[in-house]
Amino acid sequence: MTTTEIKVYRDLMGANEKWASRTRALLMEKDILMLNLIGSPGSGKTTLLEGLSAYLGDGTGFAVLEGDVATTRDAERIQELGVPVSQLLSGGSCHLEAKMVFQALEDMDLDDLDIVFVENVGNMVCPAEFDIGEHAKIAVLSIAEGDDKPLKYPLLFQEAEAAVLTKLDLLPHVPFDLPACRRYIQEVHARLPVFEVGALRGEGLSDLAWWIHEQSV
Amino acid sequence: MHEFSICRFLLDAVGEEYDRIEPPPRGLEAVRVVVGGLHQIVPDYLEGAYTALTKETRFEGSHLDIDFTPIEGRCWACDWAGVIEPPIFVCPECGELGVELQSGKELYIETLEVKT
Repeated sequence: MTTTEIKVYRDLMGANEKWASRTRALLMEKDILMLNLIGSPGSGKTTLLEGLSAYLGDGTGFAVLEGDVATTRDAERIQELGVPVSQLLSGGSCHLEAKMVFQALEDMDLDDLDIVFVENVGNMVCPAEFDIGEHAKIAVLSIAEGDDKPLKYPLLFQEAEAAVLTKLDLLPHVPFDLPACRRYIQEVHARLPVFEVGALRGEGLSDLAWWIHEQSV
Repeated sequence: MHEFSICRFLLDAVGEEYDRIEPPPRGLEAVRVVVGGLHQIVPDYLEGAYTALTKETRFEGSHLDIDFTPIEGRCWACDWAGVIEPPIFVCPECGELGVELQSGKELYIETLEVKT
């Protein structure tokens, strides 16, 4: 018996990519923009979506896919706004995968939608590795987490098409160096647009909503 | 622990490639994968996932070899090229931001070693 080496050169994540491609085709057919929000637990992703809902414009139909390890708490918050929402429970997994997202979209009425936000499972590491068929990943980092996180979790900021710094209202109360944080983001991803947001008071949300609309065009 | 998920996708692909080999091999000895340095993949976890997920399957006893490729970039301003470590895309020569990534995002199966 001998050992033979077979050259393969095949994408390791091909099985995930297959579902991501199906999602992209579905979104293109329905003319929907899908954004994948990634950030730590407690970084303010749900509050950001709650705040954004008032700034996206009356004519914009949007829905949310909520990824969580457990509970439907976030989905209930979004539902209270009258926004269609689907809860994806990862059952302990630290990220969403393309197949779960595709299946959730298939179960959703997509006809009147312009934007789907996916709120990924709270985590800065794992979700950055997975293509779920989104048009753009958005890195969400709160003021309370510390200004050096872009350097510590570079893949997320590399993969993202925008970064949102949340909880801006906490800035006077915590030692967070905003210019340094912006510099760190640039060091990882030079031309990444950065939005500073205080979602509870609506601060910075119109700029972010404007950017989102630009992505839809 | 996303290494388990990644390993499931890996084994799907390995299974498909293995079944395509003619004449059918007598077993799988090793899988070699290439992982770019920008990926946040812990080799021990990926190897552990491989051992766990191949247990009691036709690939039990085979092993996973991981080749890490460095993060490499090129400066658009001064044309410096080299290894970027840690992943901060500032040119070490001229200080310009936005060093372009040349390699470091690879994630693919390079070879299968099979018994014939």
